[in-house]
Amino acid sequence: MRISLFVIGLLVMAGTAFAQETTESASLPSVRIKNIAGDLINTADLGNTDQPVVLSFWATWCKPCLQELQTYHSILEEWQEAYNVRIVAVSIDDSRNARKVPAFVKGRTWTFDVLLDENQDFKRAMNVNNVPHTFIVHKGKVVWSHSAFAPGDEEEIATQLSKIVSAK
Amino acid sequence: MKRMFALLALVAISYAPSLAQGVTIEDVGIFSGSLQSDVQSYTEDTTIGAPEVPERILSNTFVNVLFNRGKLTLGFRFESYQNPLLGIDPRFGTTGAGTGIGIPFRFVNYVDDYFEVTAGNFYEQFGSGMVMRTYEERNLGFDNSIDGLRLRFMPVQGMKITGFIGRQRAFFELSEGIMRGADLNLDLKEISETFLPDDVYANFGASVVSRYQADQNPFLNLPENVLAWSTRANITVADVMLEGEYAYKINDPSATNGGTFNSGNALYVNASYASSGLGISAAMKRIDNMDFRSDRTATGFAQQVNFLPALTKQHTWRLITLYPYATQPTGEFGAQADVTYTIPKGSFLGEDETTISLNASVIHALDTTRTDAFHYDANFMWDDRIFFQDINIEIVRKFGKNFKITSSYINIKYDQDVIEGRAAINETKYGVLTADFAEVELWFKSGKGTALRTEFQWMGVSYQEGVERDAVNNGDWVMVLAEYSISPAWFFSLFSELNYNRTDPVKDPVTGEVTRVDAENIIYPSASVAYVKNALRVQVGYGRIRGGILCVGGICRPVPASNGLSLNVSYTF
Repeated sequence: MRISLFVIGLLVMAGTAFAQETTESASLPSVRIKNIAGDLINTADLGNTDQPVVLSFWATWCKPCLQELQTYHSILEEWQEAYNVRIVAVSIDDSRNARKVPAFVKGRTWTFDVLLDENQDFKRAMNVNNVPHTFIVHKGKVVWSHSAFAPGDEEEIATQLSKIVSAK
Repeated sequence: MKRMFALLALVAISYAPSLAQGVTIEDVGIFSGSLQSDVQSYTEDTTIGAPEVPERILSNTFVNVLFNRGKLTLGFRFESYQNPLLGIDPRFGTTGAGTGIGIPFRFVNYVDDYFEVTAGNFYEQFGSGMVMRTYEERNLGFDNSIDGLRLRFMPVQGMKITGFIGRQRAFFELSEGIMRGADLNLDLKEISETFLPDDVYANFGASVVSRYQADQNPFLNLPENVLAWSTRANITVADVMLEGEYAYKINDPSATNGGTFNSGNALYVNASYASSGLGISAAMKRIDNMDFRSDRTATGFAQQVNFLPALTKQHTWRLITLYPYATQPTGEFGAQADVTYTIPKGSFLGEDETTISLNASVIHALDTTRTDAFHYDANFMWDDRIFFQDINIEIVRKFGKNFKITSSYINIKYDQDVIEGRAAINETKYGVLTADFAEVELWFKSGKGTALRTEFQWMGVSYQEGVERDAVNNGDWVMVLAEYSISPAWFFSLFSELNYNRTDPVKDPVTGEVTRVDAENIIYPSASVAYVKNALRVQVGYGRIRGGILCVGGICRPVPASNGLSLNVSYTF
């Protein structure tokens, strides 16, 4: 109990002090997972370029996630033209559903990148509690993070992407 | 305890100013983490079978902290169960110091180009997990991480060798057995790009996992070292993927397999085809005595070493989650087929896409014959007895950008005796029920980020003649849900389930004959409000909740049956 209180106390101090010193946000952690084509991807390389990346954690059984990805599917071309954005959807489906993800994605004609985080190593490294959880990553750093999805959130994402483009 | 929660709240607030993820300190490293706290009040409600909870309020809290500097990562997870929520194993509140508070997960990890070392707790999966998978699912009260040492070598690109030794987490203690294991994974495409044609991928792998646990049984000669191994292959050619895995385990008489001295084995084969607009996958799985734990006396969710997921569709429509299938690790034979087809824009159906998903699965018992008290013969093929069968279709159709309709029909056969463990082997007590489910979901989006989603669900349930029925959940169901969201911050949800056509058993005092008479309908009303600000999410709910997977407020999570107020806080920093 005393140790736990001590740790939490340290965290409070750290949080207060660090928040003031913060000038930059985190880089992406390095986890090696596959995309649905079978290529091995190092997640540290995602968004390392000048191209902004929308990183969305999802699962085949999560209805709000499907709502979010279906929204991206319908506006992907428009966003690519306006913001040169790359969308990466990270499936956290375990081995019950992971094998079905390629058929699930292609059967819906989704064309954005899909990664398979079958034992949720990347999800843990990104401190994601529940899906959907969405990040915007630019030059290897998380610049925006959002839990849950409501229709209309894509407009907030577009605003963030627009800021990135106009800051260049 | 109040002090603890006040401090936890301070942790969240102190990090709140940093809008993006993580806190970087020059010349030191990056701190990041997350907080999740679920608090629930409980009121006794005999109508729905919700028991009296002496504490009245229960809570589960998790705080993860990671520190990263270059190739080095350190992390820990603080957990507090005051006391564990209903549905979560109560041993989280009684093991270790018995306070429900501790840091049961901490590690240090170093990764270089050719090797990786982890000391402390780690999660690992070999292949599809049939001999080894450790993971965390805190909403179910599940964490089977190994506490020990893990080494990985990547001598050449595309080759990975993993080895580990340690003990498995058992709530706030460690398991009695010592676990050891190794895995080899070969990815031919990574080893050499010229090795295979452009659109061909090939992966091969093999694993061994072993448990040591002393034999202190005075009557039986139990194996102290239990070995399990598996081998796997995955070949993809353009749009076609073929995959297979075979696992074997030596005899391991345990609390979950009836003490049999039979060895165990499992076979999994999957084939899929995926091209733009059409996805097909088909799979079969045969499991015979493959329950594998780090302690042979463990039961329930505890100390599982391997992962044997159900080969059936994971439904999330609220009513049909009453009857989910769970793998029978002692033996089953299952098959599944899944088709997704999208009718493109501009077809005879108009300017918008229509997606149709078809799925069917059936799980049979294995065909076995007992030969003596400790052994049985098992044929490769299945027995006539069906544990579970599911045939379903879902159609999703958008009409422009602001209206969408989803409609589904599901037909399920569900053996309550086997799946819920309600009867002895080969005894019929609750029998097989048949559920017919249909739903329509309507989704409207208005201007300025507001949207309304409504669900209308119905489920009719029929039972075998002469069997018992669940005391509460029997009869037919309807459900209505309305969810209004204001992007990006607010979700307001109202839903109600109605259980009608219920019956109660009445025993004739003279003849002893049991007949069923009409019983009162049960209503499960519920409401919730959720607020989201970047990576902070706070939800308050009130109502009667039936157990199952609940998807409202933008998040899906399993919840136990209850009647009361709930508070859920989640934050990532």
